[in-house]
Amino acid sequence: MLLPLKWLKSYVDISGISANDLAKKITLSGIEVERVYPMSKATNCVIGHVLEKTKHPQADKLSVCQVDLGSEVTQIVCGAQNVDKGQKVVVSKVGATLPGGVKIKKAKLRGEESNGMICSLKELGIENKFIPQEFQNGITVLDEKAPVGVDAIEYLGFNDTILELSLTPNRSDCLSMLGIAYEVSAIIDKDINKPYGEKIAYSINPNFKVKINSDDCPLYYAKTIKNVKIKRSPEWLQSALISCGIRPINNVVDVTNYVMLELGQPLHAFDFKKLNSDEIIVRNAFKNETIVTLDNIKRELLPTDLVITDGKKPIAIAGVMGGQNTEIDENTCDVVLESAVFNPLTVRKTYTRLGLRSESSIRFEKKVDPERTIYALNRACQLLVELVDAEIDDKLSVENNINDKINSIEIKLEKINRVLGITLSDEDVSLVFRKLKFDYKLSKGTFVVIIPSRRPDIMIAEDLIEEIIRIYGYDKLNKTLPQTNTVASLSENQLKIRKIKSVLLAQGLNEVMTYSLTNPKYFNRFSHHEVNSLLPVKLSMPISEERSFMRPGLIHSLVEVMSYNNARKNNNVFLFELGKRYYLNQGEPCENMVLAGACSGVIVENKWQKKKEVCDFYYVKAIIEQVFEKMSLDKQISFAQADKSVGADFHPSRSAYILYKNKEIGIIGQIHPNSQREYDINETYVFEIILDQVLDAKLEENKFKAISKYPTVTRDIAIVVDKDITVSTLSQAIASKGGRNLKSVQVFDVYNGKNVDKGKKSIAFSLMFENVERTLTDNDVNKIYDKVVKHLEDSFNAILRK
Amino acid sequence: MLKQLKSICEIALKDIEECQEIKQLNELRVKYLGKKGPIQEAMKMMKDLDTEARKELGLVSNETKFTISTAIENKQKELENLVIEEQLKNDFIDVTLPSRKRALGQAHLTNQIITEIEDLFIGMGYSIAEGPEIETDHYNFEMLNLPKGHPARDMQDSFYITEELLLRTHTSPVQARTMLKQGGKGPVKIICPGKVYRRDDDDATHSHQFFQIEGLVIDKNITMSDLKGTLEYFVKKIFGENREIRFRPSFFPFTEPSVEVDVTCAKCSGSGCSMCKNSGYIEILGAGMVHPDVLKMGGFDPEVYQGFAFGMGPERIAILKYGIDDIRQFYTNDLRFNNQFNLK
Ligand SMILES: [Zn+2]
Repeated sequence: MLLPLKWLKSYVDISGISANDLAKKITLSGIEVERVYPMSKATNCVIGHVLEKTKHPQADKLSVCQVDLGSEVTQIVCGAQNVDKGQKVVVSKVGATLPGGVKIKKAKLRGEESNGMICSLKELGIENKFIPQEFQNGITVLDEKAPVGVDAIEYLGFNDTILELSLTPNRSDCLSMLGIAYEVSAIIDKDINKPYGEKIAYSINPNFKVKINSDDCPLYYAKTIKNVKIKRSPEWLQSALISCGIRPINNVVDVTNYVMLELGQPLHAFDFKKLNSDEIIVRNAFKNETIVTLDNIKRELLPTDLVITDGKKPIAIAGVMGGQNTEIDENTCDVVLESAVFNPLTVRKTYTRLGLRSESSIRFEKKVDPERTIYALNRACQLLVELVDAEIDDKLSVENNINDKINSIEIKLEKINRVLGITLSDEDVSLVFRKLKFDYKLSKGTFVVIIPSRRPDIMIAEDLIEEIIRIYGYDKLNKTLPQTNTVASLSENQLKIRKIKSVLLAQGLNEVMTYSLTNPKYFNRFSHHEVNSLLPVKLSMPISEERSFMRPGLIHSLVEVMSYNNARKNNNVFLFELGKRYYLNQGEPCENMVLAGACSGVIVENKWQKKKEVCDFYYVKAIIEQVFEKMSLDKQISFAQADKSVGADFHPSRSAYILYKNKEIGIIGQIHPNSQREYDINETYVFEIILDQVLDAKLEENKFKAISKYPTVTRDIAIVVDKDITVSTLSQAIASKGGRNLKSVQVFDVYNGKNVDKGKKSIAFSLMFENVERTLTDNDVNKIYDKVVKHLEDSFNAILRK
Repeated sequence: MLKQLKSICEIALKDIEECQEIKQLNELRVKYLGKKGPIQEAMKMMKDLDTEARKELGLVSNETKFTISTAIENKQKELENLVIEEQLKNDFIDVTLPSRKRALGQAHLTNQIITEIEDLFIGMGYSIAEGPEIETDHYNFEMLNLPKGHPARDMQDSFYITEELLLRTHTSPVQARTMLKQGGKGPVKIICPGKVYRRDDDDATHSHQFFQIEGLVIDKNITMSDLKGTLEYFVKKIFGENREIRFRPSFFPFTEPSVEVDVTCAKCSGSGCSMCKNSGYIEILGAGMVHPDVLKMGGFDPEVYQGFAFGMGPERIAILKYGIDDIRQFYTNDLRFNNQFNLK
């Protein structure tokens, strides 16, 4: 909403307050002023009279004009097509400055002297979209009565300062000059000059009827106006519209827009002659009904749309846009003027569906003040009489279904202070109500406040408390802390998440954050058992294909980050993300907490020492093991060699399922060389773990375990077995026969090559024995050892290497 | 004889003194203290002497033996020390050469901010509440006084999945869920951090996905002055003790009264500059007193309970703190960006 200060001044006295101070006050009281700017920065411009126009001898497109500037007659070369003898024009004189910093100097244009410039509105700093159609591509031509030699900026009314307001959706009352004037008068504690009187008496027009056949229209007034001459509006009216960002069109349309800006009530004018009747019927549209709107588009209507009809055909979509069939044109002489109230939700629904948001529709949507409906109609008629000598029928056509219930709110001083935490007096509060021009009664600490119809946003006591404190001043609130005593800590899950993160960070992984929304073409990337059976969550109206699905896993996003960083010569990239994945389960959306990572490159290196360690499967595996150790869940975690069903993005023989209590919860593996090429990344290892079960796991309490005072005994076993028997299988087999004295089993050598048959491998384990109560004898250990060896030989055809 | 021993002792001590190597010293040890050495020779002669003389010779030869062996021992230590010293000299390393360091990982900037804020509020007795990102229209809007068709829904255009399901546009539904769980009994004191989504095209200042942290306190005597005190404490902890806050009226359907909270500009401390568009202040969060309808829908009696709520964007806080010029950088994850920040 644009607020020209000149217009504001006609309702409230703002003398002595600078535009910037006023802007600050308005902002601090509730309506943000985004910008304060002069309507035109042009200086030294006067009204000139073009006495002569001749063609420039050297240039077809230029004219040489003799222009009377009042003080002198001078020659000006003009490039505009529409300049002509006899016109009153805006001339920026030699020495003038135009917006954008252009300085006007004496000049010779193709040999012809030029002392100034005949200006277009654009050159004076007016945005093109607000300039009347006829002057869009040329100079502006003023009224023939415009006084020569007078300051043109003043004459045009462009010597004004504009405040650009950003209104919150509740403050529809400030969608009019009068509404803003009420707001400003409250802020600076001044009286207001209302532009209309108290009550209007009227009689019903028997010749033109209004009928409402819908609940969506509580109030409809119409007046008929005869002998209108359609023409340009006077300069003051045009500049008033331009200053508010509305393009002048013709006197009738301009008057309706002017009154809308002044009072907030949108009006609509129909060409009376184009109506097929002497009545207006407001009703809901019929099924399959259509109307061609003013923008020349045929609109399909729904029964939820409200239309204005002449009894037969729709002539306007109520509050949204007029119909072409009753449009005002240059031949219009009789007019029907509408001033009405429509259901805000109906207007909103219709304009949203049709994409027809307009100055009118937003005002109807945000509730117009029904008290002003009739004043707006009368104000428009009065202006039309003044401007075009129109004949107004004093009688009114009306249907009014509004019940004039007075909206009053009761509020106790005690309640106000209890909410705000300060101690206001009766007088403090009364003063605010007086500033706001709200009538009120006070008795025994209770206020009864009459809410004016211009403020439909005030419905409950809390709304009044806001009015009180914003006018009284938020700076006067105390600064206290709640007296509520509570103790708080992280939940177990939150603590686990922090623990997980601390391990990953200590291991050198960098945390990243990526988007949850993704392109469906990535849906099956890096799918593994945990993911590939899931149904995707899809947006019904995405902005783009790129962000149209909720991701079912995180690895793809991380690999894209890998690719981004690799492309920028960062080859040592270690990443993790803790975030959610999303899917549908029997139609219900589900989200799980997921930990994912992607690692590539050198883990640690010292060039001068020629020492370095490069990321491989086992490095990443260690990180995962440590994550679970930190949560004391390492005993529950195991890894199972991935089978052929692992997703195509994984290296088929360098990937593993991560098992929690023997149930698959994730994957770890090298990215398949093909995918690696496709993503244009270096050798990369990724992992993904669905954390829900892990987070929900109840931790067993740690109990103290005695440390043995007796020496440990170590025995090594080296065996040859089939290549595809995993170490974990063998370790478990050893542990199963080791008894309680076997404390650990560790692999210390894996070998296949010389001296080992093809398809076989040699593995060496180191077994450590210990007893808490006594020293183990050779005999004790040998017994166990033999049992273990026998088991390996029987179950895996192991051959003991001596 | 005694004289002889004395001169042997002198010669021996001289030899030991001049000795340069351990090997040579060992030879001297054998030479003087060995079985064929002069002291042993002297001892052998003892049996031919009378008691008195024998006694004297024994004494002197023992003394001589002790003197020589002590000298050898001392010399040995001296020579060994020389060897070690030499070795230590050769062990020299340049301690200023670069170490073999494995880089520590860095938490994402947004999460660093969130963690800092979480810890701050836990210290004030707030619990951390969480909820789903895919929400129902009911929790995301209706429970927050935004019925269907409410014009304020325009303020936050949403990603719908079905007519009833959408990606939450704020973390307020977590507040609604928490209130219902309380069954109408206070106090409630929570903050809700989390991802939210808006139907915005991504550019330097907009992101379709971002984070929010909202706070909610409900009890019998919570005032708007408590809100101001709480937020001032927060701002001073996060932005610095010299920063001030300002309340400016605003509108949110779920609070009444509602305010925008501004903090004094870091660059000009309130006098006005280009960063704050000459206002001296920068907007950092929205807040207000919980709307009585929201309390009612959450199961609380608005005649008995009052509360305040606030909401902020950790990314915006980071942007203001570090002067970051493009919100998309939070999601690009260029490690050259991510690794620049390290809060406490
Ligand atoms: Zn500043």
